[in-house]
Amino acid sequence: MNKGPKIKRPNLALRLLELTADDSYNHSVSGDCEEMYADILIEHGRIKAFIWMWKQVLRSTPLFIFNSFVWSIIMISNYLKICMRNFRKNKGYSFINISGLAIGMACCTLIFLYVNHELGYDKYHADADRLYRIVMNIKMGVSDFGIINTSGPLVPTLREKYPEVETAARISTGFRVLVDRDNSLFYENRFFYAEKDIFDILRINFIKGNPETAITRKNTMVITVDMADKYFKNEDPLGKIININRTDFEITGIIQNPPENTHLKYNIIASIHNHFQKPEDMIYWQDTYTPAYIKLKPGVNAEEFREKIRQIAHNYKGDYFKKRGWTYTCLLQKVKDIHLYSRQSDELEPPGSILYIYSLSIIGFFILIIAYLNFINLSTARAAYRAKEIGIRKVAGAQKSQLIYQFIGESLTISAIAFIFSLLLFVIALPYFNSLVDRNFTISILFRPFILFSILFFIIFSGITAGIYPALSLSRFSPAAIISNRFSAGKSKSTLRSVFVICQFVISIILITGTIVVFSQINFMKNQHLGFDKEQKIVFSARINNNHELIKNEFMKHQGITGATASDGIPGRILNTITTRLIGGEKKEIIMPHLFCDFNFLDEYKIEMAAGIKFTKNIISDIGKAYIINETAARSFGWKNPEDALGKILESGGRGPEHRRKIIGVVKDFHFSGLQNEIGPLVMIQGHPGFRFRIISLTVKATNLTETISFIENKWKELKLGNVFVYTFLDEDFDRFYRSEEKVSRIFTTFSCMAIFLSCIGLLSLSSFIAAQRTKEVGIRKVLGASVPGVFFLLVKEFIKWVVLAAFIASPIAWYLMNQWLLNFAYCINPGFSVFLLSGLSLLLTALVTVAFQTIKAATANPVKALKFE
Amino acid sequence: MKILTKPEELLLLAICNLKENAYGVEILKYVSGKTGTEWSIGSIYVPLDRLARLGYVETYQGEPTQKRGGKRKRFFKITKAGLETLLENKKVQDDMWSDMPGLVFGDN
Repeated sequence: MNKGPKIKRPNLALRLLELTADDSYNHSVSGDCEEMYADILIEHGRIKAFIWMWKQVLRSTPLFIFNSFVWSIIMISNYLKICMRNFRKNKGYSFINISGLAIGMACCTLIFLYVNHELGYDKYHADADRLYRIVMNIKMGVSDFGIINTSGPLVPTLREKYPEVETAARISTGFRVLVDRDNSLFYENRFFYAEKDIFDILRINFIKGNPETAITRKNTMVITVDMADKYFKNEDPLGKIININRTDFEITGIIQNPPENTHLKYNIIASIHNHFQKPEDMIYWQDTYTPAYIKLKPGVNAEEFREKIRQIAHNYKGDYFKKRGWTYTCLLQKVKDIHLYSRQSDELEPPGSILYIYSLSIIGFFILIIAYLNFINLSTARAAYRAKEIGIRKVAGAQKSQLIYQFIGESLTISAIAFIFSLLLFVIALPYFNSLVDRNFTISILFRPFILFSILFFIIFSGITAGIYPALSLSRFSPAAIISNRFSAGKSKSTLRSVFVICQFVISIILITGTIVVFSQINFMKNQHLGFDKEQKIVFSARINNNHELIKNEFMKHQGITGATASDGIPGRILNTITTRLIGGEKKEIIMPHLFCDFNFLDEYKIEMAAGIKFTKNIISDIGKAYIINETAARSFGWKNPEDALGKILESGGRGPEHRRKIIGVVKDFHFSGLQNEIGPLVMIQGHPGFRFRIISLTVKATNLTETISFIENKWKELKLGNVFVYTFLDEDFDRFYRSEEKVSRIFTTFSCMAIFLSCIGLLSLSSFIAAQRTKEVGIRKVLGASVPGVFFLLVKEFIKWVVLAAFIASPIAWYLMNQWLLNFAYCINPGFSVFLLSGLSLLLTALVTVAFQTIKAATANPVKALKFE
Repeated sequence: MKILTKPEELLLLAICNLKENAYGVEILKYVSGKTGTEWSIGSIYVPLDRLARLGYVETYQGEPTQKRGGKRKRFFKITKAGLETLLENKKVQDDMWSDMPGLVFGDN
C-alpha cells in the first residue's frame, strides 16, 4: 500500500459524523470525508480544509439525525404489528398480563392520590410554615390527658409578653347548635366562636363582608356559602338575623366553604364575645377554654419558642400547680401537622394517622411490586416461544440494541395499554374507594399537572424496568442455536423466577396476617366484656325539669320498653370532669369525670358492685348525699381495697359542706370510653329530687322495634322534652370508638385481597407455563409407571416449597409490625403462633387451588401425546 | 410507479454515468459539478440510503486506502428495478414537458 504524506485527520469532525450517520454506511461516510479532506488540504491548505470539513458536519448531521428518526418510526410500526400479533396469538396470557398490571396500577394510583391528599392538609394557608397551634397536656395524679383547649390567660399573655408571636387568636371547638330560622328548627354542626385575628392566621376567604370587623361585635357571625344556600336560597344573607340557641345573631359576612384538606372544618364562625361571658373569668391558668392558634414572626426559631412556652402555665401559676402535684404543659404543633400527628383526646375532626399513611403507601407499593413481578415472570417465561422470531431477526441483521429496543418497546406498549385499562378501573372504583376512606375524590384530581407528570413517569419507568429483564435475556439467544433446534424452549426452573414468586408470597402473607390481626382486635374490642350492658338501649337527650320519675313511668307504659333511667351522661359520653378532693386524711385533689344518674342507673346498665351499696329510690338524708366511685378512683385516692373507700368523704364541685358526700359504694371498673384507653377514675352521684337530667336511656325489646321507636318519638313530643327528636342505639354509638380501626380493617382487607388476587393471577399463568414445559418429563414418568397423584404432587412440590419459605420469611416481619400496631391499644389481643399458621395455610390453600387445574390437566395428560411432538 | 424525488433522480443518473467509479466522493463531485451547487455528504448519503432500502441501488465494498484512514469505499450500482423506475420517471417528465406549448421558443 502506498504510504502518502502524513496527513493530520480531523478527528473530532469525523467522530461527530460517525455518531449520527446510520450504522450501515457510516464508515464510508467518514472515509469519503477523509479522502476529500486530504485533497482539499493539498490544494488549498489547512484552513480551507478545516472550514470545508466543518461545513460538511454542520450540513450533514441534521440530515443524518432526521433520517434515523424517520426510520425508527417506520420500525416502530413494524414492532407494533408484531406486538399485536403476539397479543392475538396468546390472548389468554396477554389478557392476564395486562389486567394484572392494570389492577396494580389502579390500586397504586388510588392509594397515591389518597396519600398525596392526606399529606397536603392545611398547606394552603398563607405563611403556612409559620402557623402553629398550642395544645395542652394535663397531668393530675392518675389522670394524664391531652386536650386542644388552652388556659384562659394563654393568648392574652402571648400577645403582651412574647414578641416572637406576630398574631395570636382563639377559636373555640365546634358546637352543635339549634338554628331557628323563621320558626323552622335545625341542628347545625361546626359552629365556632372566634376572635377576628383568626382570619389573619388561617386562610378563610371572605366573599362578602370585612374580616377586620365582621365578628368584633357581640352577636355577629359569618356563614359559609353552603349555609347561605341552605337558609337564604335567593336572598342576600348579609344583615339578616338568625336565632341560634335562643340568641339572635346578625350575619356580617359570607365565607367560602372550607376545603377538604383542612383539620378545621366550619359552617359558621361567630364572635368570641358570645362565648366568653365574663372576661374576668379568663385569668385562671388552671381553667381551659379554647384552642389557640399563633403565627410566629419570620426568622423566629420554632424550637426555642417551643421550649419557652412549654412551662408557661407554671411560670405564672407555679405554686398553685405544685401544691396539687399537677402539670400543665403547652405543646407547639405546626398547623400543617395537626391532621396526621395530633392526637389530643378532643380533636375537631377524626384525625388521620401518619402511621396509617406509611402503611398504606407500603401496601400500594407492595401491590405494584406484585403486579410487576408477575409481568416480568410471565414475559420471560413466554420469551422462549419467541426464540424463532429472534433468531430470524438476528440473521436478517438486527443489532442486539435493536432487539432490546424492540422488547422494551413491547413492554412499554403493554404498560401503556395497561395504563389505559387502569384508568377505566380507576374511574369505576373511585366511588367505592371514596366510601372506603371517607373522602370525596373526583376524577378531576387526575388532571393536576403534578399527578399527570407522575403518572407519565410511572408508565415509562415501569414499562422500561418491566421490559429490561426479558429484553436482555431474550436478545442474548444465538441464532445458530435456535435454527439448529438445539435450543430448548426455556428452563422450567429458574432461581430468579422463584425469588419473584417468593417475594409475592411474602407480601401476601404479611397482608393476610395484618388483616387477620386487625379484624380480631376489632372483634375483641367490640365483644369485650365492658362491665355494663349496651345491648338494646335507646338513648336520647331530653329537657327534664324535675319530673324524671313521671317521665320514666310514661315511657314504661309501652310494653316494648322494659326499663327506663335518666342520667347526665352515658358510657361513651361522660363530659363533666370536676375537681374532686379528699376530706380528712392526705391532701389529694384529682379531676375526675362525674356521672349524675338516677337511682336505677346501675341496675339498668347491669353494672356490678365491688363493695358497699347502690343508690336507692328514696333519698334518705344520710345516704342522700352519697358518692359511688369506681375501683380506679378508689385506687387513685390511695385505697387498695374497695372496702377501704367506704365511708370516706369527698368534696367536689365547690368547697364547703354542701359539696361533700360520703362514699357508699364502689363499682367494678367498666369501660366508659373506648378500649383504646385504660379505664380512668369515675365518680357517680345520685341526682337529688328535681335534678335536671339530660339523657334518658330506655331498655327495649328486640321485637317490633320500629313501632316502639315511633311510640317513643310521639311520647317525647307529647312531653315536650325538646325541639328535635334525635336518638341513638347505645351499642352503635359506643362502637364509634372503633370507627377508625374499622376503617383500617376494611382498607387492609380490600387491598390484601387485591394483592392476593394478583399473586394468584401470576401463579395461574406461571403454573400453566411450567406444566407445559414439563409435559415431556411428565410423559416419561407416567410411562415408567408414576401414578397421577404422584405426578400431581411432583408438580406442586415447587409451589409448596415457595409458600413455606415465604411463610418463614414473612412471619417475623409480620410479627413485628403487628405488635407495633397493637401497642396503640390498652386492651389488646395476643396474636399467637396460630395467626401465622392461619395465614400461611390460607395462602397455601389458595395457591394450590389456583395451580390445581393446570397441574391436574398435566398429570392426567396422555403420555403418548406428550412424547410425540419433537 | 414511484415518483422519485429530485435528489434521488439525480443520484441515480450520476450512478449510471459514473459506472465503476460510483462511490461517495465521485458522486458528490459529479452532482455538485452538474448542478452548480455544493452538495454535502449527508445530502448524498441519505437519499442513497433510501434508494438502497427501496431496492433501486445495490452496494458493494471496495478496498481500504490510507487516504481514507483505512476505511473501505462503498460503491453503488443501479439495479434493474432502479433503471426501470428511472426511465418511467423520465417518460412522465417528457410527457408533461411536451404538453407545454411554445416554452422552448420563449413565448407563452
